[in-house]
Amino acid sequence: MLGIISSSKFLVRPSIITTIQNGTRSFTTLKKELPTVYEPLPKKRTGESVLAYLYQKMLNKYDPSGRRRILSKTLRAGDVIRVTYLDRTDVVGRIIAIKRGDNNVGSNILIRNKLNKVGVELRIPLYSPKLRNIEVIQKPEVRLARNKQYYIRNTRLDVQDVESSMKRKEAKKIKETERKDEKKKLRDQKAAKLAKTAAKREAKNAEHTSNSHVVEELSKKTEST
Amino acid sequence: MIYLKTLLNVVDNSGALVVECIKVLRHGPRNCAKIGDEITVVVKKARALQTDITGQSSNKVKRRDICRAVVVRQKAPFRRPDGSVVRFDDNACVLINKNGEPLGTRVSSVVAKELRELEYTKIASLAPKSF
Repeated sequence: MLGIISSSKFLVRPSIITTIQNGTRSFTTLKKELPTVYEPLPKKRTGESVLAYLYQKMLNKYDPSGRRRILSKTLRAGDVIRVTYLDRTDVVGRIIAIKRGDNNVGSNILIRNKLNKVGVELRIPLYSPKLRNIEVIQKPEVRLARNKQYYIRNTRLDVQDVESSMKRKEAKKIKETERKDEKKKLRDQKAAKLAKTAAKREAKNAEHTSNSHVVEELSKKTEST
Repeated sequence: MIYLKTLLNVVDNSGALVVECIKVLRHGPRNCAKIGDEITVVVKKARALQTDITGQSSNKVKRRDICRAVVVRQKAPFRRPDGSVVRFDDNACVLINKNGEPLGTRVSSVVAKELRELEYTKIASLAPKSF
């Protein structure tokens, strides 16, 4: 048994040696054809990150005029805004927070208002295609601290009924202007009266002087005669 | 997020002021009621009994009464189909009977717009404002 194994080993070896000695390597040819290779496509982005590129693309799609992007930069917590929808309904409220994130289409505005003494909050997507317009009604004279003013809920600083307060302010303004107009009218009337009286007095004075002249003349005439 | 033991304000003139939820109707277990959902409530606090000139009291319900209600405002933020999120400052409901008609004749404050699309158009139209 041992002899046979050893002899078989001996038989295998020389064949390997011969192939290496010849300097040829065995190989199999591919049966399939190679796939066709095309030229590489032109690069879409030159080194820009994919997300930034996508955000920009989405913004251009949902905000072609760039108006909303300007709004997202200019609006601040504390502003009172009116948001009008495409179906002409509108919502008024004070901005509590603006979530800008990476300045992408997911940005939204949180507005708060009080209706019938009940606080209501609405988070509106800034780039929503359902919005017609966002209009700034009022900007505060003194801004509260923080860009996210969640802390004002149910405190002394809380939002009051924005719409009615606006109406009240407008009414006050109108009243003031009316009052001013009335005052002006009164002043004008007084001035007119004064002017009239002054004119009368002047006329009287003029008459008086002319009369005196006449008298003088008369007296002169009498003297001469 | 209205479930067992939640206290709600009542915004109609049925006489109840505060009610407690004891059952959320037509929901699976461990599920909460949201705006427009029907719940069963117990009246915890009611307006003091006042008799009219005609001798009838204006209160339809009194303390410890069990009745049904529909949620009209909720404190938990909820999402509208257009992507906006709405939140109210309190949980509130309107008492109704088993047919879904309100017990009171008036709704005193804001309700959610969602009620209009559900079967509670009457409550939505009675309310002074919908948000």
